[in-house]
Amino acid sequence: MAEKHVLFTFNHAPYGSIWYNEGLRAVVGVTSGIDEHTVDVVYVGDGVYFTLKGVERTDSAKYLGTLAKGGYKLKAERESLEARGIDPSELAEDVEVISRADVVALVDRADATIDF
Amino acid sequence: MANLYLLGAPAGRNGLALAERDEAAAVVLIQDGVYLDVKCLAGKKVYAVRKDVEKRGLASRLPGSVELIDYGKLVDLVLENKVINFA
Amino acid sequence: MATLGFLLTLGPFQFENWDTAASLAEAALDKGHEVRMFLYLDGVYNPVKLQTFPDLDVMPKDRFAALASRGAKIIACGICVNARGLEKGKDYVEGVKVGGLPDFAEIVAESDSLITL
Repeated sequence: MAEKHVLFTFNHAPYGSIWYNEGLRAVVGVTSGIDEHTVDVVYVGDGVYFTLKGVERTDSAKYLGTLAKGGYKLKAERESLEARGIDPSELAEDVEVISRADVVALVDRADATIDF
Repeated sequence: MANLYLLGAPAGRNGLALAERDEAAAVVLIQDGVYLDVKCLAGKKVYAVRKDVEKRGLASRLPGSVELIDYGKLVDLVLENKVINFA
Repeated sequence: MATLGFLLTLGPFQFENWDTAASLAEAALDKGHEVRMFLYLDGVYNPVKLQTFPDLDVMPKDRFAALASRGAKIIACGICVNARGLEKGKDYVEGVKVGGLPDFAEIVAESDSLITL
């Protein structure tokens, strides 16, 4: 089977709903199969609230651990952060800030996209 | 081949912001995505699912440049292009 | 002929994504394409055969059963199924299988385009 590069976007703020965590479970599932897909994990819109350093990660720690071991970083869109008054210094250490233009470049690079 | 943004709700507005910056973008408004304001996409091809538009009584409110499509046409579009999901 | 993949994460009776997914899958089959669908999260409620609801002429489960009978491969996330007390899909319509995220990874591999709803 052909391996693919999949762009996952996270669009919902954490808690109150389960997208933040079930999306990560799907990311790990997609990377772990025999097809060996690769992924980008990008937080946009209200999704960027997950990347704040104070966010509890009890549920998602195992998925995030797996992704970190695979060399993946979480990416947060700068324009979405700015629109919410979030300074990069407020973000968790494993988060990389990228521009909207960078996200579009990731769209171009992806073979498939999945939104949570 | 275009980047075909499938915009619904609530994630659609995040996809809209990307489509605005994406030279290769074409857009399909689907489900509650038909409520999105697509003025920022001037010059880009915008489709909307006819059933979703008509059920909501929006046919006369969308810009005339928006092309209404049925599911068969949408299948053609998603297979001819790369789907960027924000439904 | 191409293969169209779906990820459906919402259930019936509260959101209409299932109707969009079923309509697109039907249109794809009409055109001779292959359809693969992974039911995730509340999406796993769609094929429960015990559904009844007075306001709908055709139950969601019947649309999914018809898709499966026409050759669409529909797989539900087992963890999601069991979390919701659906007991390995024992009350599912015929043709819908219970699997896991590795099946979804395979759908991603097989699909020429993937739609998430």
